[in-house]
Amino acid sequence: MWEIKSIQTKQWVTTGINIFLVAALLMCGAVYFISDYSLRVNRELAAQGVDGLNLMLESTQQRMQTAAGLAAVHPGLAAAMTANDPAAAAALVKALRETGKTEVLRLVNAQGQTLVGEGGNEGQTLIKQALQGTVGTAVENDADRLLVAVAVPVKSPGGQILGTVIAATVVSRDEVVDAIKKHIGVDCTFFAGDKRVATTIVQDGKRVVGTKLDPVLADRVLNKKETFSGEANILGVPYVTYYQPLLGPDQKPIGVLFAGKSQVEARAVRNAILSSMGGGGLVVLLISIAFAIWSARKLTKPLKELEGLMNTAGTGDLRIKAPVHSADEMGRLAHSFNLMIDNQGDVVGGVIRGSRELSEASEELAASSQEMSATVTEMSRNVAQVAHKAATGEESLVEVSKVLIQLSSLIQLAKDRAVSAGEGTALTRQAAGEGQSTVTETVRCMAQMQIKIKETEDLISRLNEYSSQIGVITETITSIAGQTNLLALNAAIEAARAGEAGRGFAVVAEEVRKLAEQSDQGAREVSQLLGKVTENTTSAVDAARQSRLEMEKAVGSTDAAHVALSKILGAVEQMVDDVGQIVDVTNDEVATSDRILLLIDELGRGIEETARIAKEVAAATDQTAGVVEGVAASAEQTTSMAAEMESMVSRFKLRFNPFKHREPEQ
Amino acid sequence: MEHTMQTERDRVQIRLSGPIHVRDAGKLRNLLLAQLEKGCCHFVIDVARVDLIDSSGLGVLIQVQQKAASAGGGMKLTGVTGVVKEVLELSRLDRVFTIE
Repeated sequence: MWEIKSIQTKQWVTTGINIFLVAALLMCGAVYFISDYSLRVNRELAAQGVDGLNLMLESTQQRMQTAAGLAAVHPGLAAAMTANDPAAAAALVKALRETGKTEVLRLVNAQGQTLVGEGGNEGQTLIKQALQGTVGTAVENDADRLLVAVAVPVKSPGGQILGTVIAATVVSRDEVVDAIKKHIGVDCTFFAGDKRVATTIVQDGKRVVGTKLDPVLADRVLNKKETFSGEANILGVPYVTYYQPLLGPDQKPIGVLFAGKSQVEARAVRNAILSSMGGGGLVVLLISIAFAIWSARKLTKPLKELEGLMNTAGTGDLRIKAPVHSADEMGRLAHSFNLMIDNQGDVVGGVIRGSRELSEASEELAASSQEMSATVTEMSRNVAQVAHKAATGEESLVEVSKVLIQLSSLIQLAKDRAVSAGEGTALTRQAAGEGQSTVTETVRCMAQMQIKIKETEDLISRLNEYSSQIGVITETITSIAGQTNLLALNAAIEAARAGEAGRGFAVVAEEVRKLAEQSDQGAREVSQLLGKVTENTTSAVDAARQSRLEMEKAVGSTDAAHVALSKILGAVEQMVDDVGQIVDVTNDEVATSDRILLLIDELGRGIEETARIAKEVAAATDQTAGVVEGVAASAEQTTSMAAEMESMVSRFKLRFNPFKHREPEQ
Repeated sequence: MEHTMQTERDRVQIRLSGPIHVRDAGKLRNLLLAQLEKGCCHFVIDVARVDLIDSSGLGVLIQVQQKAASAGGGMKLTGVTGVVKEVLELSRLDRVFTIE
């Protein structure tokens, strides 16, 4: 970007711009106020022009009304019309027209027929109104002419309406608009419809009659019956205008009244003012710039001196001193410059000394920080190992927890089972003891039964002997019974031989024989019974023997059961002891749930805390290592910077030796 | 301890309630191992209504999880709040179980 490098130039450019801006502002204000004022004045003049045209119309109307009125009330006219004497009436109307200076004066009878006059259309719309007894006035557009027409009724002395007198004159005449322009100083125009029929506006030496109104304005004024006031171009020339619609007898627009002031003159005046103001402003601008250059030069002279001194100081020569010419800002600036150079010299001296000291110190620092860096790196490695181990421990903790809790669970379940088993074993031991007692009792009972069986066997054997003996006795009885039967038979034979004497004996012998037969019969039955008894007792003996043998076996089995039960009892006792020991072992507090959970939690906390601390320490150590490395790097950088600084400040020329003590200047 | 159980193919959903002491742990172990033997290997255990659990119960859960994982399935715990949550945090088993 373009830049001004001289204060002088800046000074005069700034002053010039300020003056230019002020002048431009004043000119703009002047133009605005002049334009506004001329616009308002011209607008007022245009309105006055249209007022003038209206006044002209009104005065013409009054004149026509007077002429027609005078004719209507003339007694001769009424008499001529009553007498139906058109010649007399015509002579009278002619005389009256000349007196009243009207262009048109017509006489129309009660039937609307023209009796006297040219027979035109002037005042045609007013005849009906006048024949009803009312005076009618109107402005009319008659073939591109604007007419002012008045109709006045003609009455007989008895008050009967005989006809009407119509007076009319053309108002759209050049002398009318010229008169307004002369008095008010504005251009005026009569429009019949939208056509200029009388105007003061001249183009190429001719009035612009016959040209048309601008269509936009025509629409606004003729169709919408609005007045227009404002700036408008008329045939290429700017005007401040005033347009007013001209209404006919039925209140319809028949034309337009216009008055306007050309802006050409106003603009010429404005341009003249602007030219004179611009010329004056330019002169003031040039004078101001010349003055600004002169004052800027005077102001910048000491600055230039200081600039030269500063350039010298910039090369490193701090032995210079600026002359102080005045006590104003420039003088104070020179004094401050001298003070600055002195202080700068002190600072440079300090920097030279400091840089040498810094160089030495930073070399020492670099050596120390290298040693420290090695130590911290070693420490960092160790701490990282601890952190890693702690992290591993944290992972292992979860595994340990799983294993311990599972172990604890199994131990507790085993203990629970052992307690249950202990209870079962006690019951078993009790049952086994009871079984042993029962077996012992059984053995005892069986021994007794064995004895009883033996005794039974003996008794049956003895019974068998008795049976044999009874058999022998039975045989004896059978033999005796047989012999007795023979004896009884012999006795009966003997008795029969004895006859009567032997009859009683024969009865006895018969009774004896019967007894013998009964004895034999009884003995036989006894023998049979005995046979059965013998058979049964033999079976009983066999059964008893068999029972004894079975009993002996049962005793053997019972003894074996007794032995087995004794062994079971021993085993159960052993099991009770074992289960008791299991329960004792599992009762150890280590295996309890709360204890194991607390142990895991304590262990976990310890490991987690260790891991956390280890991480913190590792981070801190890393940070420290970073810092130490940073310090080492900084120290090296500082060393090189100190060397660089020393070489940089060596180009400064001082008034004193920086390495010697300096006496304060007087 | 009381429980309700629903099985669907190899998935078992068990809702436990009440305290889980050592004897309950034994029952729970038998119950769950029986399901494993039947071929179920996906367990969802709702412990929302469990108001106490000791290390014997935790051990059973670890064992079931391990066995379910070996069988190609797994075990999830739901409704872990209150005492159960505290115990799991104390034992660090909250890092072992899948908790929803």
